[in-house]
Amino acid sequence: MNEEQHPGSSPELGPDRWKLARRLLEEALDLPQADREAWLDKSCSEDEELRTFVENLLAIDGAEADRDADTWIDEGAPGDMVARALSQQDFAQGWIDDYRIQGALGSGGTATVLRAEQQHPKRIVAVKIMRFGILSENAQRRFEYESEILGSLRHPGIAQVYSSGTYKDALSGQQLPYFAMEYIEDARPLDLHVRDAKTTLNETLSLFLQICDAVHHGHQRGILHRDLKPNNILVDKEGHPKIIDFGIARAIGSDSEHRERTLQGEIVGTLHYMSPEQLDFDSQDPDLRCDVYALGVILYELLTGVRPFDLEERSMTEIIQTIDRGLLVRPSARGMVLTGSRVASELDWIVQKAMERERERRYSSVSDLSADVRRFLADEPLEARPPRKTYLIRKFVKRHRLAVVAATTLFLALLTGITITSLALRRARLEAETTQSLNSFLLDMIASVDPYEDGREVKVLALIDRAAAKAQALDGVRPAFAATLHATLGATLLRLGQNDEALLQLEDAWRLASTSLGADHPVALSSLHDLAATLYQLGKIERANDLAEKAYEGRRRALGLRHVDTAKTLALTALLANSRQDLEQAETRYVRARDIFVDLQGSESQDAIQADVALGTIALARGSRSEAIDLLRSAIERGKVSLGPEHPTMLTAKKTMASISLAEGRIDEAVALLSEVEASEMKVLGPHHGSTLQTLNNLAGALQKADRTEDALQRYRDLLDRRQKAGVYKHYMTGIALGNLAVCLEKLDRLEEADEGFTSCFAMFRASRFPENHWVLAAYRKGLAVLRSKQGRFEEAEKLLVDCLTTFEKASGDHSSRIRATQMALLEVYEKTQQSELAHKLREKLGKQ
Amino acid sequence: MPKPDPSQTTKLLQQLSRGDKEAGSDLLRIIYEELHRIAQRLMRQQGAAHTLQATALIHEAWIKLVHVENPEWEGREHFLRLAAKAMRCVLVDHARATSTLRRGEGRKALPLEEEDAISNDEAMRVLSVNEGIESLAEVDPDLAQIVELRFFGGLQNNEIAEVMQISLRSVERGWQFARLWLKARFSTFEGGDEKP
Repeated sequence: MNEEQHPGSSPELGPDRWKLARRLLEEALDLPQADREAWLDKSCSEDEELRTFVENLLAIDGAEADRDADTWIDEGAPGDMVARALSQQDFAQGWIDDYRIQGALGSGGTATVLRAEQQHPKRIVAVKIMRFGILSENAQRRFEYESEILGSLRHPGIAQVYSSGTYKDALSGQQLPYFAMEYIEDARPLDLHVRDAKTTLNETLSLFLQICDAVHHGHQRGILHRDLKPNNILVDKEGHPKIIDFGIARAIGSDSEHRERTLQGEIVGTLHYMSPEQLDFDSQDPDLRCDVYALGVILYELLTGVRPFDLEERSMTEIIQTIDRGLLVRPSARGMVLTGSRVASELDWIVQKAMERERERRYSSVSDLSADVRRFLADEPLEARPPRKTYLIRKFVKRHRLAVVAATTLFLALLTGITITSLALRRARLEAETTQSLNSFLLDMIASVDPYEDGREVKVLALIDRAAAKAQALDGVRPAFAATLHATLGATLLRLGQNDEALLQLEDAWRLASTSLGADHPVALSSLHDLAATLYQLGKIERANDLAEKAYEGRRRALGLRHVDTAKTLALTALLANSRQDLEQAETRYVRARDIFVDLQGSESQDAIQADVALGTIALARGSRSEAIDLLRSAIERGKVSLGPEHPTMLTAKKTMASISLAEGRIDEAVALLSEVEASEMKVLGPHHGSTLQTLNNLAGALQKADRTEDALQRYRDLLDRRQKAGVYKHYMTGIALGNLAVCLEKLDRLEEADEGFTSCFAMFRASRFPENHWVLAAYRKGLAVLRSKQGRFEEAEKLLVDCLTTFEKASGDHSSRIRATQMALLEVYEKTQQSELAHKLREKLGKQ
Repeated sequence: MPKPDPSQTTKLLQQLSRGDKEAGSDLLRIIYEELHRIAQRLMRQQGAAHTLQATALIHEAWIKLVHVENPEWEGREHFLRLAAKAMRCVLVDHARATSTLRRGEGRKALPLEEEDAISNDEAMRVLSVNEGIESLAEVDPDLAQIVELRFFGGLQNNEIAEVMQISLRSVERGWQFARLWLKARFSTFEGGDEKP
C-alpha cells in the first residue's frame, strides 16, 4: 500500500493544515452542492494539496447522496464479530513454548483452541489454552500429574495429548494451562457430521459404538472424560470419531470449580450432558457412570436431533431441577431425524437406561451400554427394559383385559402359523427362510421377557414394543420381511385397541409390502384391510371406506370372490356402509359375506356369527323385531362354544337381545341375558369399566320391572358404590341410579330413606348440569309425587304430577305410557283429596286413551 | 477465577478520576475479562448473536462491574473510554488473527465451530478503522477518540459528548468529518487490496 495515495494521510498535511481542512469541510458541507467548488477555489487557492484533500471528502459525501451508501462505518463494529472476538482470546501471533501459533480454531466457555505448528517434531497440532489460570500449587501439581496420565492414553478414537504446560497471559498475568493435542484435519463436531452426512440409523449407531469403545478405553485406564458432548467428539474426513479433551476437566480443576463456572452461566451448553450427580454439590465424586449418562444424552440427540431437556432461558436452579427431576420425553416421541421415521422403542429403553437419574440404575459401564446397542443391531434381547412404563401398561391392561387376552392368543397363533398374515405369507411362497425368521424372531421376543417383571398379560405389549423396534431396523435391509412384521404387529395392536400405534405399523406395512412385494400381494392386501379397519376405529370413515373398497377389489382379483379373506373385507365394507347409515348396502353385503363364511368355515365360525349379529342389529334398526330376534338367538346359541361367552360379539348380541326382550315384556329373559353379560364384563373389563356399569344399571332396571325390588335395590347400591370407586360419581348417570334407588325404596315403603334418595338424586342432576326440564327428571319427580302422596302430602304431590305431565307432553319421543302412569297417579290424588270434578274429568280422559 | 468485585471497580474508578494512571490498567484488565464473560454468555444464549451490539456489551459490563444505583456517577466516562479501548483491542486482534489465518492457509483452515468464521471484509474493515484511529491520534486525538467510542464502543453522539465533556455539536461535526475521511481511506484500501 502506497502511503502517498491516501487522500487522508494526515502526516503530510500536518496539524495546522489538518485543522484548517476540518473547518473548510464543515463550512463546505453547509453550502449547496453547486456552490462548493467556487467556494473552494476562493478558500484554498494557494494550497493545492489541501484543496484536493477537502475535495475528495466532499466527493464521497456527494456519492453517498446518489447511491445506497455503504453504511458499515456508521453502524460501528459488526455485532457478531464483537461477540466472536470476545469469546476467544487473543493469541494471534507469537509462540507458546515450542508451538508457533497460526490462528484460532474455535473457542468454548473455558478455553480457546488454536492451530499451531510444533517445531520438534515438525507437525501441526491443536493447542488448547484454558481461560482460567491455575491458582494454587496443589492445582499445579495435579495438573502436571494428570497431564502425564493423559499423555499415556492411546486409542484411535481419542485425540492424543502430546504435551502440556502453562502460558503466562500478558493481559491478566495468569498462568494459563494448555494442552498440545493431535490436530484432526477437516474435523467436524459429531452432531454437525450426523446432520450433514445424513447417516442411516445403522451408520449412526456404529459411529456411536466407536465412541463408546474409545470412552471405555479411557475408563480401563482409570480416566473419566467428564465432559462428553458432541463438540468434544470430532469426526474426521474418513468418518471416524475422535474424542478430544479426554480427562481435561479433571486435570484443570475439580468439579466444584467447574460448577462454579457453570453458575456464572458460561458453559450452559455443557449442562445438557452433565449427570444429575455432577450438578449436585453434595454428591460423591462422579464415577464412570457420569460418562454413561453423557453418552445417553448424546445418543438421544443423535437419534432425535434435539437435546433431552429444554434448558433455554432458565435459571441455574431451574436447570438443575429439570435435569434432576424433569420428565424425559422418550426419543421415539420426538420423532427421528435420522431415518425420517420413528425411533424404535427399544432404542428408547437404551437411552433411558443410560440416562437414569440414579446412577445405580444406569448401565454399570460403557461396555454394558455398547453391548446393548450391539444386541439391538443383532436383533437380540436387550438388557434394558422399558423403564417406569409398567404403571401405564397395568392401567391399560385393566381397561382392555379382553383385548389383551386376545392378543396373547394372537401371538401364540402366530407361532403356530395359523393367522391370516402368516398364511398369506405361505401362500406367497416367500422363501422358507422368511417364515422361519418370523417364527424364530417371535420366539426370541417371547424368550426375552422377564416373567417376574410384570403381569402375564403385560408382556404382550412389551413384546410388541420390542418387535416394533426390530421391524423398524429391518425396513431398509429386508423390506419383505419387515413388511410382514409390521403387518403382524399392526394387526395385533389393532386388536389391542392401540389404534394410533396400529396405524403407523400398518402404513409402514402397506408401503413396504406394495413396493417390495407388489400391491396385490397377500401381505399388502391384508395390511390394507387392517389399515381400513384401524381408520374405522379412529372414526376416519371416508378414508377407511376408500381403502376398504380398494382392498376388496384387490382381494377379489387376487383371491377370487369365494375366499374367506375377500369375504372379511366385504364384511368390513358392510360395517362402513352401516356407519354411513346406508343400511340397505350394509345388509346386502353382510348377507353375501355371511353366506361365504358359512360355506367355507361353517355356521359356527366367528366370522359367520359376527355377520349375523350385525344383521340382527340392522334388522332391529329398520324395525323388524322378529327377524332380529331370530338372527340374534341363533348367533348366541352358535357362539356359546365357538366364541365363548366373553367374546365382544356375544356381548353385543346379548345386550341387543335383552333390549328387545324388555321392550316385548319378556322381563325374565332380559334379566337372564343381562346377568350373563354383567358377569362376563366383570371378568374381562373389571367392575369399574363404563360398559360394566351401564350393564349393571340396565340389569337393575330389568329387575325392577320384574318386581324383584329387593334385588334391584341391591344392584343400585352396588352401582353407586362402584361409580364412586371408579371416580365417575359426579355424573347424571349417578343421578339416574339414585332416582331408581329412591323409587325402589318407596315401593318397599321405606319412605324416609326414599325421601333422602330423591333429594340426593335431584342434587346430583343439578351438580352435573343436567337440563332442568328434561323428561328423565320428570320421571323422578313423578316418583317423588307418589312418595308425597303416600306421606299424605297431597298438595305437593298434585303440583309435582301436573308439572310432570306438562314435561312429558312437551318432550319429543313417545312417552304415552309415562303420561298414562302419571295420570293414574294424579287420579289417585284427586280421589283421595275428594276433588271429584277433576277426578271425573281425568277418568273420562283415561277411559278414552 | 476472581469474581468481579463492584467495590474494587468503584475504588479503581475513583482513583482514576483523581489521576492515578495505575488504576487505569487494572481497570482495563477487569473490564476486558468482564466483556469476555458477557460475550460468552450472550453467544451461548443467542447462538448466532446477530443482534449483539458493542454498546449493549459495554453497558452490561458497567452494570455488572459497578452496580451503582445512579448511572450518572462520575466514573462512568472513564469506564466507557476504557471499555471502548478494550473492545478495540479485542476486535483488532481477532481481525488480525483471522486475516493472517486466511492468507496463510486459504480456505483449508476452517475453524472448528462454523459460526466462529468472520468474513474477510469484516476483518479488513476493522483493521482499516484501527489504522485510521492510529493515524488520527497523531494529528487530532479528539477525533480519534470520537471514532474509537463510536465505532468500537458503539456509543451514540450524545454519550460521546458526555464522556469527552464536549458539546454535542462538536461531536456531530467531528464525526461528520471523520466518517468521510475513513471512507475515503477505506475505498482506497478496497481498491488496492486483493479480494478473496
